[in-house]
Amino acid sequence: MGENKSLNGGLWSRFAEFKRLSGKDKRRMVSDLIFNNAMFIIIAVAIVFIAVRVPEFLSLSSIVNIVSLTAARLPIALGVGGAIVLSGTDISAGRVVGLTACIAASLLQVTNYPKKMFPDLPTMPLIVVLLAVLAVGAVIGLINGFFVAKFKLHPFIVTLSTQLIVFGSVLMYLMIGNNNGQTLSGLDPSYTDFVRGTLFRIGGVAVPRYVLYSAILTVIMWFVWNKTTFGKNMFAVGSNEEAANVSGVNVFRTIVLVFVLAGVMYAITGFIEGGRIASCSANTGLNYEGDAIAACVIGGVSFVGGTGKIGGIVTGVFLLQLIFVGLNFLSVSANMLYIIKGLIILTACAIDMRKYLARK
Amino acid sequence: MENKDNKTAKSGGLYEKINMTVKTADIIITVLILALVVTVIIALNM
Repeated sequence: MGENKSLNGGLWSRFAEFKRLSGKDKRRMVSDLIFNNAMFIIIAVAIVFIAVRVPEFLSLSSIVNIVSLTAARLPIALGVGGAIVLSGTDISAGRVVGLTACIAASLLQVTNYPKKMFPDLPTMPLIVVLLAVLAVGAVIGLINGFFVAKFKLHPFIVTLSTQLIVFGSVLMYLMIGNNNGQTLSGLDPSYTDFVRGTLFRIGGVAVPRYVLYSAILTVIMWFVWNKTTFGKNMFAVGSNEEAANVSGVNVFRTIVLVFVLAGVMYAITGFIEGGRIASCSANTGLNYEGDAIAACVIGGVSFVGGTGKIGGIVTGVFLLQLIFVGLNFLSVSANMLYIIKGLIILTACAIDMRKYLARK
Repeated sequence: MENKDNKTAKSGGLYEKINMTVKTADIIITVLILALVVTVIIALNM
C-alpha cells in the first residue's frame, strides 16, 4: 500500500516536473522517450497487429511455444551479453553451440542405432557428456579471452577466427567413424527426456524441462553479474578498462573469465539444443549469435560497454522470439525473415548509438 | 597528466569516434524503422 503511494507520488512529481519544463524541453523529453524505446514500441505494435490478424498467436499453446523457444536461446544470449558488456562481441557463439550439440549427440546415440558414430562406444552417462561439452566450450572461451586480453585484439576478429576454426572442426568431427558427415540422430531417450521431457502441464500444454534449466541459469548469471566481485569487475572493465586497471582490477583475468563463462553458456545451449532438436548437423547453431546479439541490444546491453542487465537480456530474447513466431504465424517467407532480422539488429544498434550520443 | 586524463575518460566502445548530432541519429533511426515497416509489408504481400 505504502509502495503504491510512493509510486504514485513519484509519477505525480515526475508529471509536475514535466509540466514545469519549457515547450522545447518538453518536445525533447518526449522525443527521447519515443526514440529510446522505439524497439519496444515497434514490437508492441507488431504483437497487436499479429494478434488481430491471427488470434491463435496469443493462444496458450503458442505462448508456451514462445517461452520454450526463449528458454532454448537464453543461455547463448546470457553468454554473448558478457562479451558485449566488455564493449566487445562474440560471433563464434553459434558455431560453438553447433560443435557442442554434435559432440553431445554423438556420445549419446542409442547403442543399436545402425549409423552410430562410434559403434563400439556404450551410451555414456549424461553428466559425463555434459561435463565434456562444458570443457570444450570453456576451452574455446579461454582461447577467445586470451587473445582479446593479452594481445588487445578486437573481439570481433578473434571470434571470427575461432568461428571458422570451430566450424571446420565440426565438419571434420562429423566425418569421424561411421557417420561420414551425416546428420546425427538416433539419440538415447534418457538424453531427449532429460532435455525436452515434460516439466509440468498448463491447460494440457506440456512445458519442457529445459525451461527450468534456463531459469536456473538466468538466476545464476544474475547472481554472478550483480552480486560477485567478478561481475562488478566485468562492468568496471567494460566501462573503462584503464580506470579499472588503475583501481586494481585484474583486467586480463576478468576478460578471460567473461569469455570462458560465455563458452560454458554456449556449451549448455549446445547440450540443450542437441536434445531438443534430436538431430544435429554442421548447420546446428547457424546464425544463433546474430539472434543473441540482437536480443542483447534490444534488451539494453550497450555496445558502449559497462551497461546491461540480465532482465534486459531475458526481455530481449523473449521479444525477439515473439516477433519470429508471429511472423511465422503470418506465413512470412524464411528468406524475408533474414532481411527483417538484419533490419531489427541495425535499428536496435542505431537506437543504442542514439542513447550514447544523448548522454554525451 | 594529459595522457592520464585521456586514459581515464569514459570509453565510448564502438561509438567512440562518432561525430553526429542526436537529430541526425533520430533521422537515421526513423529511416531504419520505415525500412523495417516497408520490408514487413512487402513480406506480407509476397
